[in-house]
Amino acid sequence: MPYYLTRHDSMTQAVNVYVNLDTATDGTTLAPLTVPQGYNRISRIISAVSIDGAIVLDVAAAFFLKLAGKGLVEGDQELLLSNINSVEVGTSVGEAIETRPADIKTVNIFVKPNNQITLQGAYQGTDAGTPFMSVTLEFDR
Amino acid sequence: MAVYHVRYDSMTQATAVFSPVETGIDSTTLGAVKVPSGITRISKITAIVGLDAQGAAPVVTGANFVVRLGGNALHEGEQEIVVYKTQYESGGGTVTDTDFWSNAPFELYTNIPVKAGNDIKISAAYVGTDPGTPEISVELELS
Repeated sequence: MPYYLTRHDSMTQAVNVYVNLDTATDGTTLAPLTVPQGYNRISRIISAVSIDGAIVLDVAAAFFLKLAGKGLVEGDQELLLSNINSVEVGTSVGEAIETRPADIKTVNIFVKPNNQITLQGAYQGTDAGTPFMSVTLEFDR
Repeated sequence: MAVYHVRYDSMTQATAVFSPVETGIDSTTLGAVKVPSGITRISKITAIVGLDAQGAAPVVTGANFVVRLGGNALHEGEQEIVVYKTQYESGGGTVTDTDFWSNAPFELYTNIPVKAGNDIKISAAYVGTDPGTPEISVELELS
């Protein structure tokens, strides 16, 4: 019986720097999420990354998620989610239209009910502008 | 045994605002999905997002889309799931060529317990930049 919790954030930071994903869908800032009562593992991570603004030319970036906090049985963990690529001749991206399903990653990360987990996002490669990262954690028993 | 219910809607709202997804394929407003007798769970969620009226949509936008399931049918209460993303860029300020593409939907096999005879309210929001009027379609597989 799964349960889903979602966080987002605008990644204004530089490359190789983690930032908290602590924004709710309605734009409010939330505390670290609390593992729901009765759930003992994260079974899937659903994610989407888009560029919230002009895409910088000739960049590639891979996006990572860090899970941290007392809610994790085995301590902090880092996961690879997805990437973006922008290659263009000229001074700006002339054409990029895309619609794509969110990525689903199957995992088996043990967690402690009623304890907190902080989500953080980072990217490696070249600064792509302002990526917007959305993550849903699927908790299961 | 599975039964399927579909809703869609135009997302005319601003970013970070949920709006009901409650329109039937015949364009009537159907509202929530009523869980049929004998059904105990949502077994799959399917969703797709399209950029409607693209030529008129704002360029240089990116948005991630979230479906919220609510209503008194959900044992564990309201839940939100990231389902889709869109990107819409043009350096010239307008899209200057013609594009066609077709995507597979987002499909999530799941096991969300529900109460027969009660309602599942579907709503959706996007975060990021306003991409104009995206169209979202959601299918629930109930078992």
